[in-house]
Amino acid sequence: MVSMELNSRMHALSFIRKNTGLTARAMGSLALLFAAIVYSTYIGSVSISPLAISRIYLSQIPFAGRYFNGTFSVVQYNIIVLIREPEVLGAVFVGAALGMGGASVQSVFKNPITEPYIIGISSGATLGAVVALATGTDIMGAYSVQFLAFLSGVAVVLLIYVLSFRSGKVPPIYLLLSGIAVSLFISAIVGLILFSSRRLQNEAFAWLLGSLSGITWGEITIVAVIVTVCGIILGAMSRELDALQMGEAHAQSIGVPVERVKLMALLITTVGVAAAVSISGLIGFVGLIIPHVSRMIFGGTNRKVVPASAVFGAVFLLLSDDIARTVVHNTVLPVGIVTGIIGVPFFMYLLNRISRGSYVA
Amino acid sequence: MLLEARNLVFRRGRFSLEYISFTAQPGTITGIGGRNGSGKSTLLRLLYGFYKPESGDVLVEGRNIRTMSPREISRRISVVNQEVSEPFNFTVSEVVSISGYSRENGKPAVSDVLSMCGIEHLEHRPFNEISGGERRLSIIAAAIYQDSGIMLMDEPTAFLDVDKELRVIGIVRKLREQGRNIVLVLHDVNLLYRICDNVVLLNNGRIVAAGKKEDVMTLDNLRKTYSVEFREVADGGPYRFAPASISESG
Repeated sequence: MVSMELNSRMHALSFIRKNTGLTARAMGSLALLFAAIVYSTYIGSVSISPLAISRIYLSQIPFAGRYFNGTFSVVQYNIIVLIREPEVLGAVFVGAALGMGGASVQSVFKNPITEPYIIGISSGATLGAVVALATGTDIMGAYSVQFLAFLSGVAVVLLIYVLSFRSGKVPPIYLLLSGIAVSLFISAIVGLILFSSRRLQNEAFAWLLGSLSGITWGEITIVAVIVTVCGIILGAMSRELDALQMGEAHAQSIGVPVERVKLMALLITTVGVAAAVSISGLIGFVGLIIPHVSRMIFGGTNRKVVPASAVFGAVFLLLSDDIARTVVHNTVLPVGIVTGIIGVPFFMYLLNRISRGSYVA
Repeated sequence: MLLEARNLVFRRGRFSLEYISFTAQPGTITGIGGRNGSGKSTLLRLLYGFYKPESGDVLVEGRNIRTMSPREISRRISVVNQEVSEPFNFTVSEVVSISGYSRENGKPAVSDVLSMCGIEHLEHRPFNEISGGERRLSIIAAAIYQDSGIMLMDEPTAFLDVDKELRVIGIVRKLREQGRNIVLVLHDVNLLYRICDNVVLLNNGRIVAAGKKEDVMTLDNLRKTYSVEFREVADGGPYRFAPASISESG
């Protein structure tokens, strides 16, 4: 039943691709993102009109923003900018990083059912976060947990990459298997650390289920810069990522330096996703689902899929966070629970589609 | 463009290619024949640098490919692999244009190579939805689009219907007429004889014989290559060789 419903929705997305121009789809996607940002900001205990919220956001655009000054109150401005905007922007950049990361690793592995966490980012970041919480380290002041999560995420991916070397190459299958093995090993260590302290279990719980609550301007500024730079680089690598989808032998035969491109793509993806995860905790399924939605609307080339995955990843996480904040009265659910509940049926749909033949969106 | 293999040695596990040398000339078709597992496809992958030989060299117009970047190699050598991965959601046109990654000028156009291969009607079809034979023709079109002097093809006619096999043979001959240097891996003895000018026969990673097909494809060499006694078929048209154990009446 769920599968049938999803099927008709996916066909609707393919219908959009076949019957609207590229510019219309791009503009529509950006408009959807803006609407999701305004709606997500609108949800809150103090009611501020969507029009005022739109004006406040537009007033922050360099140069053009001054035309919107004076169209809202200072109180409204402070509530939006100081309290709600960091969390909303957190959803935007975390969702964008996970979406683009998914497009990247699915191309590198030539596998539609992978996501960035498969290469060890999640287990590595979890280890870093749990170690930081357990030791109470002050290495980077208020950002110690985030910093160690980021560092550990990147380090574990590099370890898995080195372990996967075979005769000067890194075959994706070894990368995948090493990723699974190392991730399981690290999960055991994390379990051991958590087992030692009930206090730690409670603190790590929120991190493991993913949450966008309490993200600060300091955090989001750093993550925004990292994710934007990583996104630009991944976008610039779109032709190489396309070639990798055709198989490594084919990619090399058309002149792609396969091993260098794989390393670069995985490294950039890791840095972007580890930065995002460091402030949000583990939010699953975004990197799995979103690239497929992007392909259904924009076709298969990564020149379109990478930026579209950034936009739709942001929209998906914004709306998931809205659900997490409103579905239970006076309680904010970890957003990872919401993305998981939405993600699993989609994953089953995808498996069903793949098992019935070739993957065509 | 001249392609030379000089004393290539490649070892992986129990398999090895030992001291492979041959020359492929521009404007000719060179066929590599042998049994399954004899090293034909591995040799092809050595020729464009996907595998690195333990020793020996591959030279293009006298220049060692070890000194070239993948981009420089791909401007000289294009490849039709026997299998390509299924991309997620590319059209045939996109699959072809991806192969233009390294090329320096804007010709030929995608539509030109598709019509040369007789698949212009597939231009906007999803690559994953077309038949295996149509995919093979699309990959051949992509290799032509790459616009290189040397083309390597791994079993370009395997598993194709007769009409598509004939079409592929026609395309290969046309490319030879254009002066390209074509190297084919073929398991079919008769096809080797029919379309190639020169032949390299491999057995267990070693060259049995290499040179003009008339000199190389003797019954003795075929026996050494395939471990089967062959006989020549009288008036067999395109079928010159048959295993000796099969009678004329079948």
